[in-house]
Amino acid sequence: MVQQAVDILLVEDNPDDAELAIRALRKSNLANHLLHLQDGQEALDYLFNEKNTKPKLVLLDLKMPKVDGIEVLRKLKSDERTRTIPVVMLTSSKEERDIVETYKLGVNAYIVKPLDFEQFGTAVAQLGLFWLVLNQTPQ
Amino acid sequence: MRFEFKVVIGFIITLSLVILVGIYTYDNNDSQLKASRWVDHTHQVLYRSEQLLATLTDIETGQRGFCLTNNVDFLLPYYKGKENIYPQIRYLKQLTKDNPRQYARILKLETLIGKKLVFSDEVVELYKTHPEESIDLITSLKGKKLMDSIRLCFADLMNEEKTLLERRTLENEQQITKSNQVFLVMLSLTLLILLGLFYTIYLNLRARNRAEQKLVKASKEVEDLYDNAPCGYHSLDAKGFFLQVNHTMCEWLGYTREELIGKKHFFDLLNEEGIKTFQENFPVFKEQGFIHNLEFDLIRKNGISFPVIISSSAIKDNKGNYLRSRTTTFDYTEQKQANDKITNLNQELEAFTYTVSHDLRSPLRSISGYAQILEEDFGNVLNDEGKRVTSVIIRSSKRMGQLIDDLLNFSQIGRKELFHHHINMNEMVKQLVREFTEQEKQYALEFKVQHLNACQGDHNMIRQVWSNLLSNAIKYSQKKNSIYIEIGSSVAGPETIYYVKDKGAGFDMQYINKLFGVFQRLHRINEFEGTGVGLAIVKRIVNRHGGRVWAEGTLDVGATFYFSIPN
Repeated sequence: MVQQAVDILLVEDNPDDAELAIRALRKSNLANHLLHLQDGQEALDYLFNEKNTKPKLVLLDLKMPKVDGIEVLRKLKSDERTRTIPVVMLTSSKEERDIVETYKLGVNAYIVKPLDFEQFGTAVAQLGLFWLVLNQTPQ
Repeated sequence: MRFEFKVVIGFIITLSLVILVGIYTYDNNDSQLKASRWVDHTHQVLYRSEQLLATLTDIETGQRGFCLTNNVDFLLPYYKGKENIYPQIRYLKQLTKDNPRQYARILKLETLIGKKLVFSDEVVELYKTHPEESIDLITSLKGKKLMDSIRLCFADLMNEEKTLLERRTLENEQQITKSNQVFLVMLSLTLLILLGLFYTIYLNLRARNRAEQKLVKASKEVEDLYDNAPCGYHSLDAKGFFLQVNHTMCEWLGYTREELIGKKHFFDLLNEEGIKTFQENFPVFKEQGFIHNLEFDLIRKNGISFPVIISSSAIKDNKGNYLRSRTTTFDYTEQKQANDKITNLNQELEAFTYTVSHDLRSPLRSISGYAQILEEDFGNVLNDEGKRVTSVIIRSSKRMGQLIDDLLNFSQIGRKELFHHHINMNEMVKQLVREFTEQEKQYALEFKVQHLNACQGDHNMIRQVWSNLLSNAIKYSQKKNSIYIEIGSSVAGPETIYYVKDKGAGFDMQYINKLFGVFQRLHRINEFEGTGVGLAIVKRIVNRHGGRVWAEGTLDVGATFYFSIPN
């Protein structure tokens, strides 16, 4: 698993939400190189491990045990090695302060998980398409 | 009449009366003097007349004595009498010049006396040569007759004079009585006016005394109010030293007045932060003349501080130089505690809504998501009842999600800070109308937008008000053949009223009080979709702008929703 190239790193503590997101991405055939990690600490460990390839997109939940999404984002965006990785917040929180804070830290997009499963699926699929297929990132 | 005027008038009247009494007394004295002179005059006439008669008697006696005794010694008074009698007559004539009748009598006397003297001379001279012939002459009674006439004349003269004396004495007495009466009346009048004047002055003095007592009482009350009001009062000089301080403030601080006035600077009572605030604001205050609601922590004598709110206005001289402040100080402890409590509660509420927004939505999404997976992946193994149940789960979880979202939205609107800007309502509504027309293509929408007055408000929130009202109007008109919505505004006094009118389902006016409540609905969910938050949000936004919301409606005819924004 470690050696495999990772396109999408999904950091989500809620297994149900993770499953639904993965299902939606898989429907669009975007889940082939997807790694799901369950909390912020795991995510940091993975991303700062030199052996691992950098993902093309990090989908980050906000509220997680141990290290939360904000903290992960801060560390990623303040480190030269990880700064260029696109990070998209995928969260239930519509709170203005969360949106403002993550943007200040340099988040690339902020998506509120729609309640409707269909909408949720569409949103995740479009997201994957945009960042993996359309978007260009520095090599 | 004013008191001073009264006193002056009284004084003038009294002075006039005193002058009048003086003039009258002088005049009266003068006429009394004249009257007594007349009495004297009469006495003198009488005396002189008697003297004249005595002289004549001397002459007569001398003549008779000589003729009886032939003694020349008797002729001595005779000649002396003859010598004196004419000056006496002249004197009498002089005295009676004023009285023609008496004067006439004197003239007659003069003639008679002349005759008598001629007769006497004749007798005396004849006696010297022919004594017998002389005796004959005497016995002829001519002399006696003359003498009788003279005596009669004298009697008339004296009687007249005596009558005059009586009359003049009486007149004099009457004059004295009358003048006494007049004097008494004038004196009484003066006395009365003086009494009146005294009474007026007394009344005025009494009134002044009472006013002074009242003033003293009032000033004591004001002093008491200043000292014991439930807020602190003090005054600072241009440097910031205490000039005056009330009892309440002294109590709060634990200092005596003497320890503060002239000795303590205001920033002696402040902490570092307070000193900074003071140094920033005191010059501004001296310049602009007022300052409102500055917060300070004042340090008591015992070192414990307490929060206060201070407002002050400056007293300046004619040239605009700062003299002193009038400062009120309110103990802010309780309010601050209450504010802290509110802040805490708000934070708790925020934490709660945050949790709701994050944690509650998550399992809901799972329910709805997994039910949908069930429908998609296992639709072929579910019978109809199983499919129906699954669809109910999906629908209900969606609805619950919607309820949570709306509720969060509603609570956010209560907490969000308002940013007031000029809002072009025409522009805003036209844009919304375009969006709705685009969104609801399936309906035949007809909007009639009147000119809308601009307003001051939070752009996003006001937009939400219009959006909610318009989507409501559309929603409740769906079952009609055509959708007609009218939008307009009017200025009414201090506020501008906006309205959205539709020809939709309307509502029964008896449920009007439920219209703007949270989760209050007048229609069943299968009639019209919705959570019952839209109008509650409208109400909350409008209220936060200081405006009002209300509605009019008739069932199956239509409804008009109004909201007002203060100008």
